[in-house]
Amino acid sequence: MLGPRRWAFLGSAAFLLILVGEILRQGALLVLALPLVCYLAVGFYSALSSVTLKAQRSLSTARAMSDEPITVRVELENLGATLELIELTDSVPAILQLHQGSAQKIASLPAGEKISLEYVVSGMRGLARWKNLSVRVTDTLGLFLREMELPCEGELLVVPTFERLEEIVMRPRRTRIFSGQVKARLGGAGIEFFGVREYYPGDERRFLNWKATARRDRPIVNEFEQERVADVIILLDARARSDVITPQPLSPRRERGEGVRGKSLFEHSVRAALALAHYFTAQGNRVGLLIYGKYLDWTWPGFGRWQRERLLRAIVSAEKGDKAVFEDLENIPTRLLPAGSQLVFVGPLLESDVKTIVDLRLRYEVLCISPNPILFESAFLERTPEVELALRLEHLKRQALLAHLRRAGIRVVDWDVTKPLAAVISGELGRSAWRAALIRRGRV
Amino acid sequence: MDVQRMLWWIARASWLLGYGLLALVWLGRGEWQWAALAGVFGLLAVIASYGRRAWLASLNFLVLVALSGIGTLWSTWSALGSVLCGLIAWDVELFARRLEYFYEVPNAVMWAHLRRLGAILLLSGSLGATALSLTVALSFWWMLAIAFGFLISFSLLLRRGL
Repeated sequence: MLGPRRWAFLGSAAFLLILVGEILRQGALLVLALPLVCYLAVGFYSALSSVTLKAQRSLSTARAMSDEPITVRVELENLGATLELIELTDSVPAILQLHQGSAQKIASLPAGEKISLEYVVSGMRGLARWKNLSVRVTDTLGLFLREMELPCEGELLVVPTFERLEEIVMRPRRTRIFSGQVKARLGGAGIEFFGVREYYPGDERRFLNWKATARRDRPIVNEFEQERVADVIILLDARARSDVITPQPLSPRRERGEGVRGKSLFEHSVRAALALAHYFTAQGNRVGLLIYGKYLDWTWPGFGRWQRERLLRAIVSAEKGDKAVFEDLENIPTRLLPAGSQLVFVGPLLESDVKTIVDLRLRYEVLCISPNPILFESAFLERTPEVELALRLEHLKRQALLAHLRRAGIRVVDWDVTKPLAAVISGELGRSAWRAALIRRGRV
Repeated sequence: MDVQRMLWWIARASWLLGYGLLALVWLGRGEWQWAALAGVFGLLAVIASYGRRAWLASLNFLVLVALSGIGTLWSTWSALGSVLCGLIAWDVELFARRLEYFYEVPNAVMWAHLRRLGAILLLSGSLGATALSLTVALSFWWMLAIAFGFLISFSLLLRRGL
């Protein structure tokens, strides 16, 4: 009970005593009202004057990794008269957990002085934003109350740990004009042999293919495959229906987070998307992002470090959604996707997704990085014969689904999330895997 | 003893003292029913202080004031004493509840509050004692002058922004 309510309570009690005393003509009852009246009088004497405060927030770092402790410090300066009692309450964003200290403080604040509120938080993933600091100023007795929200902004990006990918060989249908590291299916300056052609004046003599020249009796030069940058669009599946959330850990090993890291498969998709965005931007490609789930979160394709930062922020802030309109992948806005670009779908694949992905393959090169939901969930299940049978059936269904995609010319990485993504990708999408695939098809 | 424990100790002791004073007066006069009633309410006040309902402190204070009003028929001094104790208990309990949410409470905050409360008790105690000891007969014109003086001082206070 603070402020006007306290004042009303005491005033009413005193008034009743005086009234009853007057009605009954009992002076003693008037005497009993004296402590209450004195309380109110002293309260009035020490009433609040004007309150002028200024708040400033500082964070130990603007970007942190998962579970890294971050110190939040809020400094409040009193630019007005002395304040007898001041309560500060800082609202900790939902993605953060308080580790040390408290987000609330009570103190008295003399004129011109400062107080600070300090606490340590950590988070798993996301963009944490602070806007205001709640301040409540009262006199010592709590008869006068002033509540205010002081602007005190702060922003913290909590990035989950992600792996650095080494190599992904891709062959998009179109490349851009800038040189990069993607084979452009065009002859010209490059490293890898592409073919031979007739010599034209101006060609360097060191590229003359002497054997072919002797065979054809006219000068022939070697041609190399041009390497350029490409348009890459990362499609992150953020649909709640495709996610798998594990139950509470069953064993101490799982409680420590060993084996399967994280509680939601979506977090693994996010980590994969971060790794891919980092890799493709570092290779100089023009990278865009579409997060499909809660809504269509589209990041326009772009180059360079700024784009990498934009992608990082978008992926880190990704949230799952269960909107009916995005239940299936058929509402992917293909008009946004640059023609002939390389699409990288990240997410556990559902049966209903296959048709849409195969349709996308008609216009784009498609690559799927799919965290395996069956292996992920099975680590948390008790192994009864029925469960074993169900897992085998699900596994077969998934293999059939992936085979369907592969037959359509889509490269699929079935990622067991207990294994490092970098190793899985370099094994399945690296240069050696590419060569092996070409040999299988009889093209080499 | 940390700040909050000390405040709770003061509040509970004051509830017991406030109700106890009344109970003792009624016991001394052979009023067993009233004494029992005061004792029960005293215990309830202490028990309520362990709970989470802050409004019970205000209710207990009102009950104590009402019982003190009845107690004036036997002993005005004890009634004044129990109201003073009740005021301490009510104020300190609510203050302790307010501090519960804070990780660290500086001692200065508690002492500033207790000093202010002490000043109120001193002022109201001395005024009450004076009122109970002295009998002053004032004419109508004196009363009118005093009332006018109060009115002037009140308006001055208002002009100061209170």
